[in-house]
Amino acid sequence: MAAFGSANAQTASMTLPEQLMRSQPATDLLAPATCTASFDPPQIGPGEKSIYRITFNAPEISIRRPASIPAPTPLHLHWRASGQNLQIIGNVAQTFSTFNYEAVPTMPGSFTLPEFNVEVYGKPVTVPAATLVVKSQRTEPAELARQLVVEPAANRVFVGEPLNVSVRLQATPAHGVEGVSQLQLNGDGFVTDKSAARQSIQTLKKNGVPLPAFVYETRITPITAGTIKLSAQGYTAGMQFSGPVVISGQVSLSSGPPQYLLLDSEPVTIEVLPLPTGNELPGFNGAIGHFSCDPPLLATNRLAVGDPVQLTVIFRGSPNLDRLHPPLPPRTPEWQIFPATPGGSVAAAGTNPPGALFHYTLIPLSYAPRATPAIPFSCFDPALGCYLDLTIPPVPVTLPAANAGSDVDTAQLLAEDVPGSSQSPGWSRLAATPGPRSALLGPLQLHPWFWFVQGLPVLGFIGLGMWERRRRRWEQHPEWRRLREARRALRRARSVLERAADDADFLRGAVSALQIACAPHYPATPGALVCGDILQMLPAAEREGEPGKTVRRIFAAADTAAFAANTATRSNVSDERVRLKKILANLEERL
Amino acid sequence: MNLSIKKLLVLVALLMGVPALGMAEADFFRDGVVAYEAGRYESAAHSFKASLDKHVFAGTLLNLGLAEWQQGHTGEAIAAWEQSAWLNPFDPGARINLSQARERAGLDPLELTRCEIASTWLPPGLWAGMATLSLWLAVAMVTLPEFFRRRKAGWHQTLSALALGLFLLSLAPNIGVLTRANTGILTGKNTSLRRTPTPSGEVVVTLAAGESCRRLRVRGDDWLVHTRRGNGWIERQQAQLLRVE
Repeated sequence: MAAFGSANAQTASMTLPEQLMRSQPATDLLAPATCTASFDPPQIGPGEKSIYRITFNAPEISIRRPASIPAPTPLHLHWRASGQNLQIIGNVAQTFSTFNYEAVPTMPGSFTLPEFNVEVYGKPVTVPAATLVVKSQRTEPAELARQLVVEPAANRVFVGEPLNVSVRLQATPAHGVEGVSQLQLNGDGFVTDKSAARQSIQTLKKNGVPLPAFVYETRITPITAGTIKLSAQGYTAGMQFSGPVVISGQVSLSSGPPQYLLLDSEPVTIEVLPLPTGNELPGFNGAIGHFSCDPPLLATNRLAVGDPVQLTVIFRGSPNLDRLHPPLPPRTPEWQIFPATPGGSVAAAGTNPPGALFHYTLIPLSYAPRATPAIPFSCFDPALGCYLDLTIPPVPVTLPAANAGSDVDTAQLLAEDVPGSSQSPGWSRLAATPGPRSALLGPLQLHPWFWFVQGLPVLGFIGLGMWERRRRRWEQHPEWRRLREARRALRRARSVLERAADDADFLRGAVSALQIACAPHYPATPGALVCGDILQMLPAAEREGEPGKTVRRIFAAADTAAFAANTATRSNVSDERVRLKKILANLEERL
Repeated sequence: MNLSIKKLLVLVALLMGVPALGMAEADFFRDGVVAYEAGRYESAAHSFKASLDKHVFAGTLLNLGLAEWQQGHTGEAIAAWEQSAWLNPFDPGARINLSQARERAGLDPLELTRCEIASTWLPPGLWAGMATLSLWLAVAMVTLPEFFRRRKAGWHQTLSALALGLFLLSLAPNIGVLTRANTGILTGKNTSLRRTPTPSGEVVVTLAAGESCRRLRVRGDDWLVHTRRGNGWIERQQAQLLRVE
């Protein structure tokens, strides 16, 4: 119990792939490689052929197939097919590889292929000798070599055109009907549609005799133009079938373990034609077959801009609907169309064949569309040998605001009322006057002159501030103002002095200028100063020197001119102009 | 706000650098009205445009919009009415026409920010003038009494506070005016909004004439615009801004 419990626990801890692997029978890789060889059938008549079959209990990849078989001269061997299968023997699985050669004798007789060595897993394995008896004439009906029969539905197709192919294994008197496993089609230039494969057991006539046969049907699609050599191979599998089988007619099935024999077929030739060029229709994307397009269905005909709507399209026709690619939607500024998504298949209804359903998602991007855009599509019909137009037609739609930007619709709107007239409700009347006006249509703030105008008040306030500052400074230092005013008055007095016409004017101007130049130093009103006050402002050396004398003479002459009747000294006063100018210049420098 | 005050405000706003109505402009306007009433809408639109050659008039723009609408030019009509409303927001005519046209064309106006909504209450020039006058009045009421050695009275401070408040209140509308100046109307029919500023750029959405847009960036002759249906690039000639550059 403990061991059993432990095994259960171990199994539970394994992952699903591990459990699956461990549930499979073990593969026998240690058994020594052996080989069997035989002719099938071992006796043939003249003109008949036999299959020389060599079987190893080893994988095909481990076997180095000899380039040539040492056959007697009258016997020609041609390689036909090779394959490997897995057989359960006892409780182990073993891989068997089989090589088929076609033996065609050129003369009657008994031909024995001697034993020879073939390298398996790097070691030589002896292929036993085998004998084929070729009789000169048949005395009794003999069993012919069993082989598959390939029958394509047509031997002349276009590239891309689906072609049904059936592979048949007919029962013989010696071998009842049995299934074929690992059936495959050999050849280049086509693809096999394994999803279309069907198996059945039917009663078929052979040489007028009805015999049951295993029939495997599939579909191939040629992908290159030219000639295809198509053959088939598979293992006889007794009553073991790899999938569902349809049995029709009276068939007796024999039981018993299967005998796995590699069978092959004679190759058949199929001519593949290229598609005609130059007259392709718009929207051709490689669809080949006979198709038709049902009227497209729109989820709703009343749309809104930006809202998605689904367009459903059904294509009916050829059996290869599953390989049909819906057309790519066109690029249009008014619609955004997403590529079609498959919506499944549609069953046949009445005379309508089955179909494939596709959904397009469309989004109107403007109000203008009146219909969905046509989606170009076409196919090539091999039966007719021409292209067929399958364009998905437009579907009418209504957009509530589809009148925007449209001349026609605006005209319809205008037919209802006339904006600007007094009778039209909802619209303004026509303006009788131009109304408020402006030199510019735009914000003032974006114009440079607006900011320039803002600078004017700034400048005004700056000026006011400076003026106020100067005024305060003068209030704190009144002497500065007196000196400044004295300088200005002195400049005016000197100007008057320069323009003096006679001595009296000169003397008045000279006295006034001297008083103005000296008044700020006391401070005093200029008119209140006398000669002595002026002399006090001169340096001591000048006061006693010639400048002092000049000042005294000017004041004396002025007093004389003002108060005396004698004017004899006038000419002398006029001589003082040069000296007075020097004195005034010295006094001005002190201001 | 009664009508007389509105008229006064408009008058004040438009007195800033407004030239006199020229005879030629008046004649063109009159011709346009006559042509419109006679049903010659193309000729009317031509005359109204000629009247707007040198100066812009709100009434002329209103009539131009009507003439364009009659010709089926939805984009041009809405642009003209938007400009008329921009110049004279007190005139209900442009707003009525915009509302009616957008309803019939299934168009939505552009979403405006709060600043921009406030800017629509008065003409843009009035907002600018208000901000200017209120600012400098506030500054003057604070500084001038001191400059002129006058004692600061209570009314000085009251006026200064009022002016400062008015200035602060006018800041948001002025910002709105500046941003609204970059809004416009698509005039081209079925204008493709492209993801990149190239003719072969992927079309984001196709817009009808009359859709509103906001210019975000300029690159050469292409504008990056924001619309209600997304952002994308258009060509300059496919839209008309509210302001004339």
